[in-house]
Amino acid sequence: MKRSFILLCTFSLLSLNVLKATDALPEYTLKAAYLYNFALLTNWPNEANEDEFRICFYKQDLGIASDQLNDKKIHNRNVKVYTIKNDKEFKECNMVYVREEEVVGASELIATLKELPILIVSENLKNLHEHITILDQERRLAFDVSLDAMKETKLSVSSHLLKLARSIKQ
Amino acid sequence: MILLKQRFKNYPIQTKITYSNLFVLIFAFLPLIIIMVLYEYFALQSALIKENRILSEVVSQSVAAPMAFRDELATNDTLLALKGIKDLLEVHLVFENGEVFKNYYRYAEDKTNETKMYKILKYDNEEVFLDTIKIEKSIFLRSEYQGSVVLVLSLDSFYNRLAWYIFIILATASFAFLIAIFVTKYISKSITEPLSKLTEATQKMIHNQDYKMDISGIKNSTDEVGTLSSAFVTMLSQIHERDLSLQQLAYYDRVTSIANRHYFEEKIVQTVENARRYGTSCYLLMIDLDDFKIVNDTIGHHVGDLLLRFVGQSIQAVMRQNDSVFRIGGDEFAILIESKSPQEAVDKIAKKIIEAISMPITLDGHQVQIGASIGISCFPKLSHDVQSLMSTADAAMYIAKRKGKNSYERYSE
Repeated sequence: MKRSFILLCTFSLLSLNVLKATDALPEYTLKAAYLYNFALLTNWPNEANEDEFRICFYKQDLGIASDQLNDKKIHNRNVKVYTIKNDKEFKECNMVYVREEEVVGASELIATLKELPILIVSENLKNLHEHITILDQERRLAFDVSLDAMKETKLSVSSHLLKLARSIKQ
Repeated sequence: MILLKQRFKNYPIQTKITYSNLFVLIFAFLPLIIIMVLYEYFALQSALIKENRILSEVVSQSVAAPMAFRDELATNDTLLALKGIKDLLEVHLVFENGEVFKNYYRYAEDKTNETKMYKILKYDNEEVFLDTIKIEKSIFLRSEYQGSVVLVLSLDSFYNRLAWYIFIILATASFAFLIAIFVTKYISKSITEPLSKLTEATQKMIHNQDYKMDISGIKNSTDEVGTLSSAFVTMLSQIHERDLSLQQLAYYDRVTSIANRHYFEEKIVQTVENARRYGTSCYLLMIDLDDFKIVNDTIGHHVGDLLLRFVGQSIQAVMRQNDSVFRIGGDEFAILIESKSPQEAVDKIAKKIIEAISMPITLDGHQVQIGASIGISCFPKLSHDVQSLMSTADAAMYIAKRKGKNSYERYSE
């Protein structure tokens, strides 16, 4: 009797912990959701010609969170997620994401893509040609938008996105 | 209904008309008021839903992006702007999986019910409860479903407006009702006033027993009341005429058209009474025709009647205006003279009468001549009451008759 009571208490505590873990979204999932929303609020030129929306991760993806983006719809196109290591393949992408760990190696790649209609999103990076930077700020995410870098790419972003940005570089 | 009828039966017509008009008014007003209030209820409710549907649309648009990025600060800014809407009690921003992103409560006490999960329908919907209205609106970011916004609004303002509307309607209806009471009273009075006057005049007539009363002032219209009034007036004049003819029959002799014995008996009492009261005197002249019976028997009643008429006219011709002539029997006449005239003047009248009657005349082709014997008495000089006045005059007349035809005699003891 005593035993079962202890078991029940342990189980209850465990289940409480599980609930807590699902309460706040994990960082990767949140970042994946950000990527999806950036894509939603950005307009690409010649969108109608393609039926696939390619989100490419530079060398490292967001694990299971990036897989969850697969088969979602952006501008009526099915999302396909790719993790790419070869620089040349990035030209086929609609969106490129560079994680903080890969930022140093990616600077060259970002420079080659700067005039193409590819939305470049990076983590905690400055003074490169990325269009949107996701920042970790006191346990919550924020983002900066660089309209300056976007100028020659023919990409345009919605005012909704600009309104939510922490800072905008003109 | 029967009780109501019974109760109304004894009311005056004016009250009946007023009440019936007011009842009609109430029965006409009541459905109208009910329909108007119901219409206003549904119209207000529909306007409220429309208004708040727009509000939910605005909220869903403005929270779409902050919700997608889970930006609580930007969401709070939007929700804070909703503070200005008095009736907005709660706002729930809910993700597709039912997880609550943000709750807004106008009153802190409602916050105790705050939950992390909220059941949403995932389509636009409105639900009206007794005191609240719940509106669910889907949130789309670039056509991608993000979740729903649920607004809970109080119906206080709605009921407030409805109450004011009902109050205004009832106040207006009461005002119209008051005016209607005055108007209906005025109208019913104008209808029934001639009737009331007629009733009043009739009651007065019954009380005074005077059928000569003039009510022509009442009949001033051509409607039923006017017709009734003029018919009443006609009826009254007919009654008056009938009264006159009855009086004629009762007090006047049909053959000679002069007053009869019945009238004489009333008149002599009055005359003696007047003489006694005012200290004056009166004379009674009893006239008996001589040889009238012979004429009547030999020539016929027809000529007898003509002769009586002639005698009546002859006596009246010599009399003064104030003196009264009566036919008190077959060939007996009487004259009452109310005067302070000296005895000689009365004698002169008697002489004149005898002269007039004793003249030979032709009646219906027959030569006729009669005479008259007159007995004279006087009150209070020769008698002391009606009875003695009559008996003394009678006695004097018999003395005159005994003396021979065509003579008069004054009573003496």
